[in-house]
Amino acid sequence: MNDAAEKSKSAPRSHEPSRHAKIMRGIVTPIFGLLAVCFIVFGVLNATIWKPSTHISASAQAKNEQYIMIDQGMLGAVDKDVTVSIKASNPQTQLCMAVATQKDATGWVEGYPYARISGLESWTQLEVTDQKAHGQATPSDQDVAFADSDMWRQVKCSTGKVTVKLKDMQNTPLVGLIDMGTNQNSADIVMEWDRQQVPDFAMPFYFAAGLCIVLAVLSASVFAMDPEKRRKALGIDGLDEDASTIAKIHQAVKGKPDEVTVGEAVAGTFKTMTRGLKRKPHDPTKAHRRHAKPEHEEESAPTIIDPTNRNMLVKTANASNDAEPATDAAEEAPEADETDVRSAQSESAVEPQAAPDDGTQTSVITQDELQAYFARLAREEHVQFPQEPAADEQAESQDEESSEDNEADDSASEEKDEQ
Amino acid sequence: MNGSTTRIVKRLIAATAVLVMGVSLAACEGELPKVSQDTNAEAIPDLTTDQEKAIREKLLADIQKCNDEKNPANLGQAMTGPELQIRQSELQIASKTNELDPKTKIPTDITQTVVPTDNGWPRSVFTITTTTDDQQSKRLLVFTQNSARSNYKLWGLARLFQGVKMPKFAIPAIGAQNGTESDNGLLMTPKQAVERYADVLQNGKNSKYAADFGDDLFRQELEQLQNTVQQGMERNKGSQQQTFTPVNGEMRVMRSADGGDLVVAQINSEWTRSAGEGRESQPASKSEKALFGDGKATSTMRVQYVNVVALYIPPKSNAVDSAHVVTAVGAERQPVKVEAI
Repeated sequence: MNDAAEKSKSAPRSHEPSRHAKIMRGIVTPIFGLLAVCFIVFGVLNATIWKPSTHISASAQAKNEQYIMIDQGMLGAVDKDVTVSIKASNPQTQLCMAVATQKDATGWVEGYPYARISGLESWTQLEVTDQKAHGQATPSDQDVAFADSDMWRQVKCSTGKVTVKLKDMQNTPLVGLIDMGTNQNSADIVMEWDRQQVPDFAMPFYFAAGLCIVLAVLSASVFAMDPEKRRKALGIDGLDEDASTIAKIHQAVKGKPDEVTVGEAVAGTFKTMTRGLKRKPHDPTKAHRRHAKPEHEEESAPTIIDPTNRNMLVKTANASNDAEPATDAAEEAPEADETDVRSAQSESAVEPQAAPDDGTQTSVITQDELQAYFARLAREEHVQFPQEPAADEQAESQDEESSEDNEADDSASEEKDEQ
Repeated sequence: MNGSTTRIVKRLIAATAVLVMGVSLAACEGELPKVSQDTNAEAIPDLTTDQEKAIREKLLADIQKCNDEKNPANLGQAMTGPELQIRQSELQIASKTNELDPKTKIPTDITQTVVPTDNGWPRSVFTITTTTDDQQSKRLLVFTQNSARSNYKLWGLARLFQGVKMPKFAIPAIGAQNGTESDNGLLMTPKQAVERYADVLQNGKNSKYAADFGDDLFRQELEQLQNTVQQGMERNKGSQQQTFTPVNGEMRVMRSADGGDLVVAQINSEWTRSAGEGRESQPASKSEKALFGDGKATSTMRVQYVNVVALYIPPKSNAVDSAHVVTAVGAERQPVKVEAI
């Protein structure tokens, strides 16, 4: 202890920050701060001008096909509501679009080649594939016109351009079938959706920015502190009494503090933070109110006296101090009523509970154990401790034995008086 | 390269790097959605109830228009199969008698529709109407679509017998299944059932298949009519003969929920009546008389009838005791041609 104090006096503390603190506050903290600003900027950009557009419009061109089939699942690929627009290169072309089941649409185009819109090549481009004819076409005069078929759930025809708005097309078995007539026309097909939910790309940036801000604050404060100061700030003394004692002894013997590793520093930092979050000590009057027993129940609980847990040393000392009143009580007992005797006995029985500080039931370290501890410590650290307290303790132990004998005699005499 | 040029190049590189980084960090539209095909698409009903209603109402409106005009010329747009022949005859009779037979009424309201989930063609939708406003029995309507590029038409109509118990079918949202004339697992195949029922109609209780069919109103009325005519013929030492012949291909089958088949089939019949003792054979009903018109009667009259019968064939496993027979649940009968030979 004295060495450490001298050491601190011989090296007067400078008010200038250390090199470690300079690096942490001058380089690391600004870097984290800059990163945080960048992340915030990118987050804001992703939430505003870079935000994914809710309106999706994908197009494709079909050439020299009479039929175009929009595959099952494609109508609701982006959102449940879709608008399909077909614009023919020849404005006089009769265009029709129908919505039907896959089997009905396939049955209609049996024997005819057709183009399939089978997916999205990109967010602006539809994927178009050519489909060869299945089966054999059997045209008949009895055939109904495309627009008049009973099979279509919905059909719309127009000249030059047709636009069909469809709702609730997600998870439906329906397909779109477009008839562009028999003149081998080409047409532009545009499918548009308004997305109800767009991906949120800003939130990860905000999260990263928050993380960088926390790291910047830590770099400028806790991580910039000298390891010794940080350890003191962590309050090792208050954490564990034994650990503090051992650390002090270790410091006194070694004469210099331990080097704090990075892992220990970080762990200590979080330990400090978590200590702050720990709950305050319970107020026994508030805790478990619902299930707590009333106080009077605790008072009326039977008192259990463990004779093996009695501290005879303290008992002897108390007995010697109270010797005269006890004698007086014994002398006055015959003169008192029986009721008074019983009440006096009951009072003496509850005395240990009413005054718990008398040391009769506590499990404190005895003088012998304390002496043994100091001896063991002296052997380990080669530190000399004074022997005088041990001699006093021996004397006290002898007094304790004699007082025990006296106490036995007193109890025997009390029994005789009661008889 | 002097210092200023180097500085400019460095700045350009830095600006490009910043731009590239910015673009890479810029938001995209998200992951492209993948188009998923519904693997259960095979079990989709061929029509929704709204579609069925629209088709039915349109066809019945067309038929009603023909009824009102008593002109069968446009019936082909709404009817096909045996019902087309029957309704043509009915309208022909009505045009002569100026009275439409009440049995031609078809209620527009329905009690049940059975929609198939079949992928191919022809497809048939079975619909049971309510009773008519004059309390005639319910009608069993069979709408058929012969190909993908044709529309549904009323193929058959059978008036259900009073109190008949119909089999249960899957609801339209789930869809049933059209059967075929060779469906097995039944008491007999639909084709056998129609052939044997025709034999029962022709021979009555003397048919060897009579025990395979439950008694029904159609057989009772037909037997009663034949007995009445027979009595008249016997008085003038005449004779009569009626033959029933199933028409190939004119059969529609719907599978019921219990695995049975509801079969609607056309059975043509030819009724030949010969008067004895030099007498002339006359039409036996108003309908025959209207169809015969001003024709010169001879000793023999031949009348061709179109019959539509609806038979329920139970599955073999469930066919026990009283259910161990094929049951006729409805029928329609109409003379279509009367001639003196």
